[in-house]
Amino acid sequence: MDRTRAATLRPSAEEGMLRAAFRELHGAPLHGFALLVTLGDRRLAERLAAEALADGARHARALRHPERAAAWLRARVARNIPRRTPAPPNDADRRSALAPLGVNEVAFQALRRLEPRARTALVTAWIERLDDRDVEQVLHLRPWRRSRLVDRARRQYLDAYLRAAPGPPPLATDPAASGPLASRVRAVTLRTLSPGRGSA
Amino acid sequence: MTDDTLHDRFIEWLVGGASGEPPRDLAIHAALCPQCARWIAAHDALAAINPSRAALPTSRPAVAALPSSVRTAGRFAATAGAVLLVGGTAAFTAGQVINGNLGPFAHPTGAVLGITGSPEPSPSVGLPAPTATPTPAPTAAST
Repeated sequence: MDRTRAATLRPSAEEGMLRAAFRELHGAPLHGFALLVTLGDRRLAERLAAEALADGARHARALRHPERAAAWLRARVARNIPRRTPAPPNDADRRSALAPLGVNEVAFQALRRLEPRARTALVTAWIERLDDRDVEQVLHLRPWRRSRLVDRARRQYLDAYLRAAPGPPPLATDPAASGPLASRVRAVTLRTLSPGRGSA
Repeated sequence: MTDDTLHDRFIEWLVGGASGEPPRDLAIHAALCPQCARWIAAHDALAAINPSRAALPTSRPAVAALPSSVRTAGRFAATAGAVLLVGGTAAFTAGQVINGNLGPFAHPTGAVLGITGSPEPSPSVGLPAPTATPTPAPTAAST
């Protein structure tokens, strides 16, 4: 009797663990994605992420590949973003929702200029660095359309950022510039200009 | 090579994805160019964003908590119930019409046709009961 009972309980327990692991793996980044594409609308982002996560957890067995699962979840969030929200948050709320993710003031201003779909393209392709086919799944686009949308989103973001940003000093004289690209450019420059570069 | 060309090439490299290391001439130009520094800052501002820093979503979805099959069954049950209710009401009403038993909605003529015999006298409420008035008998004196 006990053995039969254990045998009937085991699959559901395993299923529960699988769902919990799925939720643990995808929950936070998916919520972050939803916050970014909704531009810090906490209530909406949480609802969209929770719905997608609940749905994904039910298909956890089929969604075993983490990157494909991430794309599936994001596609669901992107598809369910409403055109209008009844009570959108004010800018201060949006900023405070996005600040913990690392969105600075100028980036917020630039992201704000983008349509939700362009923001989705930028977040998946440039921030999360998803594979091209995953970006296509999220945006529900064919490759050439995906490429065009991502390029347009990048340019719009960069233009908006340059418009909003104060003019920083050149990289060579700015010790505060410590991002990954600034560090890469600086490293190549120093290596090129250092006296012993020919021997390396 | 002019600064403008270097500048354009660096921006092109940046917008193209900025993968790997920049070419040396472009890196030297970008390190000294205030405009390129802004582009680099824009790029690094995105790189600083990490969606995984968000918390787990806490709210429970109201609709998605039920599997779609359960939702479909619920909708089917509601529709079937509504159809049964309307159908039952219609059948009951039709039965009542056929039997002529519509209570207060019955047509007066139909009710009379169904009754045999004569109506019983009903007491008058507002008027006093009529009393017989004695008529004077003819006498011999009057003739």
